[in-house]
Amino acid sequence: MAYDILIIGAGLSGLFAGCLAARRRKKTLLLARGVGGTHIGAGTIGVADDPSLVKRPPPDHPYAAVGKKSMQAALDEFRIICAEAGYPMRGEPGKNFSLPTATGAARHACLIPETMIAGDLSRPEPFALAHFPGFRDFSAAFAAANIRLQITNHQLPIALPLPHLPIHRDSYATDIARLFDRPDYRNEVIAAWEPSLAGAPKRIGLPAALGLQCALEAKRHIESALGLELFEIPILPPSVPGLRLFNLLRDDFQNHGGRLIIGPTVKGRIENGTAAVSADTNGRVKDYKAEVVILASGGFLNGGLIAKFDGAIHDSVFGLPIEAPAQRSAWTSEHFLGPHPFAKFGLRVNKTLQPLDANGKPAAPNLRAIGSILAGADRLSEGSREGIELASAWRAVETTA
Amino acid sequence: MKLSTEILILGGGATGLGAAWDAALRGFKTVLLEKGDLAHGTSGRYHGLLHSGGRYVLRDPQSARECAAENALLRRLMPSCIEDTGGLFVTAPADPADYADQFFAACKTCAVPVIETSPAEALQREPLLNPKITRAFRVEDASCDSFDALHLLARAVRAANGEVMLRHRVTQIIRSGNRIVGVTGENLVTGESFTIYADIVLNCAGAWAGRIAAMAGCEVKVTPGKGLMIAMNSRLVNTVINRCKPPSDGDIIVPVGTVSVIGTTDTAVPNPDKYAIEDWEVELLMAEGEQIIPSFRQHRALRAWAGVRPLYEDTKKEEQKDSRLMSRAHALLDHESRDGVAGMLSMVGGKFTTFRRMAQLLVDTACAKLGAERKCLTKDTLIDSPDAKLHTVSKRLASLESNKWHVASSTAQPPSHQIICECELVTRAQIESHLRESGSPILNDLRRDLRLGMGPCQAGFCAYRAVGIIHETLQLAPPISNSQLLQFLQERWKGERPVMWGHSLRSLEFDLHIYRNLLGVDTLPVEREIEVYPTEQTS
Repeated sequence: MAYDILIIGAGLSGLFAGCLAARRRKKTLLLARGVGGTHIGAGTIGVADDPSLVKRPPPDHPYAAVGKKSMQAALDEFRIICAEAGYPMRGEPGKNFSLPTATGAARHACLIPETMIAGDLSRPEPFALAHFPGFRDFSAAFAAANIRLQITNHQLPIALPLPHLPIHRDSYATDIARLFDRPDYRNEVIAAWEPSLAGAPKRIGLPAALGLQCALEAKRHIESALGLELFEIPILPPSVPGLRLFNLLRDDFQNHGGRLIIGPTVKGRIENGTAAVSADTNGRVKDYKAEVVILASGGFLNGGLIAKFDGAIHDSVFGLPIEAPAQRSAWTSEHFLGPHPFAKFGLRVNKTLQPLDANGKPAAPNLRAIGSILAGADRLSEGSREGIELASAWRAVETTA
Repeated sequence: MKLSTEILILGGGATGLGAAWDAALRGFKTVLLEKGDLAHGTSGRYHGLLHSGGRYVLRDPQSARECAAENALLRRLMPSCIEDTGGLFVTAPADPADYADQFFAACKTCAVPVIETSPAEALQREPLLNPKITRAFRVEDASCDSFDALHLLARAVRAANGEVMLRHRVTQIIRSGNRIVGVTGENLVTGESFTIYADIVLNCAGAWAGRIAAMAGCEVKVTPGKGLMIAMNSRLVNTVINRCKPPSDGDIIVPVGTVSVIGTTDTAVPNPDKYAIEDWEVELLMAEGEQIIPSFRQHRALRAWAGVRPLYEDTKKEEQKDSRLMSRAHALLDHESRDGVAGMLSMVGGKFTTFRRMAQLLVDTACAKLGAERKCLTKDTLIDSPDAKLHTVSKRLASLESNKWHVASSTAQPPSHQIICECELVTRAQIESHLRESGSPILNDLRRDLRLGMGPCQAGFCAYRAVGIIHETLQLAPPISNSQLLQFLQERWKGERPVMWGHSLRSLEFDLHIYRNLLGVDTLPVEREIEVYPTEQTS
């Protein structure tokens, strides 16, 4: 059985490419070793802290390869998919929200879920941060103290107790989110919180854990019962807002006929100028055929790029070499926070998103590379990680039309 | 602040704390000053090997004898920080074949316990060892947690009515004619100045001893010898492994807690506070590691760090270029006979394993100078409590499992058994109690005291949690908390940077994602600039 499109990687770019292809009635297979970066992300879409990056990207930046039109189209279609799943993403291209982080710094994002919208720092109404006693991954006191340095109408943090946290181990955001999915649990929470909220501001920030399956329903239920607005703040992984994006994209992909296999080690090879793929499940190797192969295996963090002790770097699926200085000390900065030169290491591509070999020629005409494996962007410094993922996914699927 | 004491000790490493403990036990009024934290210098940056003496039997038989005796003694005096791993000397294919017989004979001469065993038995005990080893000898090496050891010593000093004052930096030595009578300095936490008068000053500042001596107008040439170590992400061996060959680079692997450490190199550096770790040094250790364990490179390197050995250079002798050839033995300098300056003794050089003996010599000499005849008691005084047992992460886990979660989770108080650092099983209660005791907001102190952030994730998760607790407990101004968080992350990074390949690079990108993208710490206001080579910190 041959596929029109075979995608490698189940992160944001791979899943989104899968949705786009399936929605265009392509026969699509998505193969991945494991889930991708959504589970550790913030669940927001950052395109660029500085909008001029999209308008006038440096020539070797992924934005230069995908083009402005792809960005606009990608964001539009992403919003449609999210809205259809009942989890609308708010915002518009070219503008950024400024939202509080769990340390009280401000972070920027272009599209954010409705569960975070009330955290918009440009709004004048006072707000307070709440922590869940016994939950270690969010310190409202620390975040609030930093926010108060900059924002005067911010009030003291409050404690909102959560009933029924796991008692034999520490709880994670996912534990709490699963509780919030239950209406009866939310009723208990409302009763428990009511006394603590007397006199509190009508905007309350919480660690991002307001439900996995029905976050919006949970948010609205509590808001209307208590007469206030809630907003989520991204915290240490696992990321509940990221899991929601993963779930909705996976469902959309599969509902449109896409086939998803997560688990095997995916190996690629280039034979006679054509990219071919096999999947190894505990030694059982299966070949898959496809017209077009889209490599969305991610950067170093996601396992798409591998750096060797001897200074050689290559992609983990096809073994394509990556240009980098031979001296490892040139990869990083002496400052932990960077910027680090390795951030820009990756596959160079042309405007069709075909990876280029050392001579600047496409490694294989039927191969595309998208997302965090692309060279030329310092995603952390630019705030461009998700923008690159969505726009390159959109562009790659467009090239297969 | 002004005070006077009988014996004043400068330096809070193993030598200084050992001397303070010895002096306090003899009933002297004793004060110890340290400019950083306990184990801030070389004692906190060594590979953790309690020498059997085997390593020195051929080159330095005197040191070998001392190590063997002290090793046996310390196991009894401070069992909670010594793991009886045992040691092996193995002859790898690249090692000189004739060394093994000389080694064996010299061990007998130096009273270093040794048993020859077969390579097959050694391999059975340590399956990752190079199968091509030709000889193997069992010795009584052990693994010692120097952070725990120094905390115990400080407690013992205080229990004997001695004082240990941390973050007190000496800036001047007070002389009256040709006699040293005290020191002045600065409390780095409060900014207050202090003056301490003493009958005698013991300079135990290790690699920094030359600076102290210079303040007294004496020249003591101490060459900082940089020794590199790399921690690998698991216990590759459960026994200390030594190469059976003349001592050189990367010939020892020590299992320490949950990791194993390979060491060391030896390069003279000009400044004990500021030195870089270079790619070639890392490569050298990795290559030598492969000689002992062929699969060495396939394991994840966690971090690399260096300690600076205080190598004493006798200015009267010819210049010695190779710092490994300089004496590892200690030198006791009497500045009265040497420089005509009374009231100060310097102890330079030496090694962790023999710290007690060095302290005894030093305090014996001080007694003679003070005209006091008091017997040394350290040989027969437990440093640990009598029922102390080896402290391990598995014990921490057992204690957590047996008494955790008694507090109902819905109460307003966070459960005290909550685990903040999952790698080293550090609980909220431990952090809060450390903070109550020390009042120090410095995350690196929590690391040295509790091992917070020292495990496989290198503080990826716990740094945020811990800074929140510090902030809540000590009620700090946010820029102070922010600075502490960033300086801690920078400190972890300093050790990780030299081993950035494979999974380490992946882990770095993960940590950057957490701290920059999710938490935005790069935009937080700080109280002080983050130092790339932090030497000492104040609040």
